[in-house]
Amino acid sequence: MYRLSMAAMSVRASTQKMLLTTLLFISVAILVLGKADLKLIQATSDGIADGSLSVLSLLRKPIELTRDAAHTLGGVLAVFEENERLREENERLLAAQHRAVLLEVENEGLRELLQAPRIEQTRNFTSAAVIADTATPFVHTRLLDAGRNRGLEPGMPVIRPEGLVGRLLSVSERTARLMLLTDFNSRVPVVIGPSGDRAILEGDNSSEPKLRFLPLQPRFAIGDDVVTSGQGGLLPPGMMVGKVVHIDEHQVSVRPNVDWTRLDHVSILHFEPITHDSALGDEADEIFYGPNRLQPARAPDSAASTIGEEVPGE
Amino acid sequence: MMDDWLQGHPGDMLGRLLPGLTGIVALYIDLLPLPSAAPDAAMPSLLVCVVFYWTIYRPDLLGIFWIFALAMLLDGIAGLPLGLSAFAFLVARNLLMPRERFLATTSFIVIWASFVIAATAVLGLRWIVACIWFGHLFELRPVVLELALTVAVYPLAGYVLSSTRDFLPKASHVSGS
Repeated sequence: MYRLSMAAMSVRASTQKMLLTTLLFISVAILVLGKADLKLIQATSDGIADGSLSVLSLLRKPIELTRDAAHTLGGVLAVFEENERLREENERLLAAQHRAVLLEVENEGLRELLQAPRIEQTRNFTSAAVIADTATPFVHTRLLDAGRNRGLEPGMPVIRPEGLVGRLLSVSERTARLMLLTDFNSRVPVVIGPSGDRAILEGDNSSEPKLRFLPLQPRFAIGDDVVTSGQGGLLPPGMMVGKVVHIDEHQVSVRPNVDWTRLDHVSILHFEPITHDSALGDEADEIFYGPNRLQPARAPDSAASTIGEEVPGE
Repeated sequence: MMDDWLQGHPGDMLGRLLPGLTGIVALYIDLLPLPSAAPDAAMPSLLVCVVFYWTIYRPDLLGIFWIFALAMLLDGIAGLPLGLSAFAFLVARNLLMPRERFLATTSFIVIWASFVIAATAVLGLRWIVACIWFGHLFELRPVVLELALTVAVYPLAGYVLSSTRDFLPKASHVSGS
């Protein structure tokens, strides 16, 4: 009897070993096929994310409620300080508005002088909630609860009232994956004001992306604003990105304006890339998505649509 | 193997699913967008704690199929290369398999020390494979930070998981899927 039981255990152990080896082999095969850009693997990954949408949405509710309660309580406790801060901010905004009016008048005059055509951009947005935070040391992405069903396409810029957050890396039916500015594959052409120096803002998985391909004699300084340049046509120009916070011989760091602690909702800008089908298209994709990332599939023309929701807080 | 699952009281069936369900809960908690100071803020991996715990105490209820499925789910939602976590978890499971009986009866300090080795294997392997897959040498500091947090949180996770053991059906053997 004892011998039979030992034999059964031995058979079971060898079956286990064989199963484990098979599953290990399957894991490696999926990894290799994923690297080879097999569409089935990408579709499986998208399907898993779509399937988890309802569970993730449900689980984030208590966190959202707790956070809102904490913010409300904090707001009540700090009402006087908040009032003072808003008063100061109001004064700053009024001064900025005055400057903006002056610049608009000046801009109009210069346009007429140069007979430059006016570029009209309709800004349409879709709002989405962040439902999953990857929190891995390898990729800085977030999962959003909107996808093709809300007219989203890969490559669309994702923003908050404070500035650019990143771009959509991939879009499935009900979810989309947002690649943050800090992801090591993120590349954004920027201009540093007021010097007007152009560069590429490159993520490196730290909280402060770096400026690359700077001019030979840069003129910017610490504290200067960094905005999108619109070069390549994949992002609209003039979107706030962050501020230069560190300059040394080897690198220039930029701190994004985005408040990461409040990254629960984002707005996706419906922006049609200007040079998508031109010769620059592939080159531009390489700039924006980096050499290591699977490039997003081009969205079909029929999927292009605008929704027209407002940016929260704007 | 399937016979084992169908045998017994219906309550046992639910009990048999409990370790897998704790794995799913841990996975979703790991992925929740909790308020963090920066995108590079490190978080502990509760899934590593859960998989280790059940691998020691009830490998028959959280078998390799469960581990494979949980890891694939993690990769799919987190946007990691599919198969990355599955590979790391299965290799670590392979390392633990011959020692699970010893660990199930030893002191907590030895278990915790073994957990450090197992978690290092999972997170380290994931780092190595990710470096190869992306063709990029990722910084090791965030991995070490994640490991430290995971090791620190294990006693609490173990305590919570031990309270669910009363609801599990009795073990007929300790090695299985």
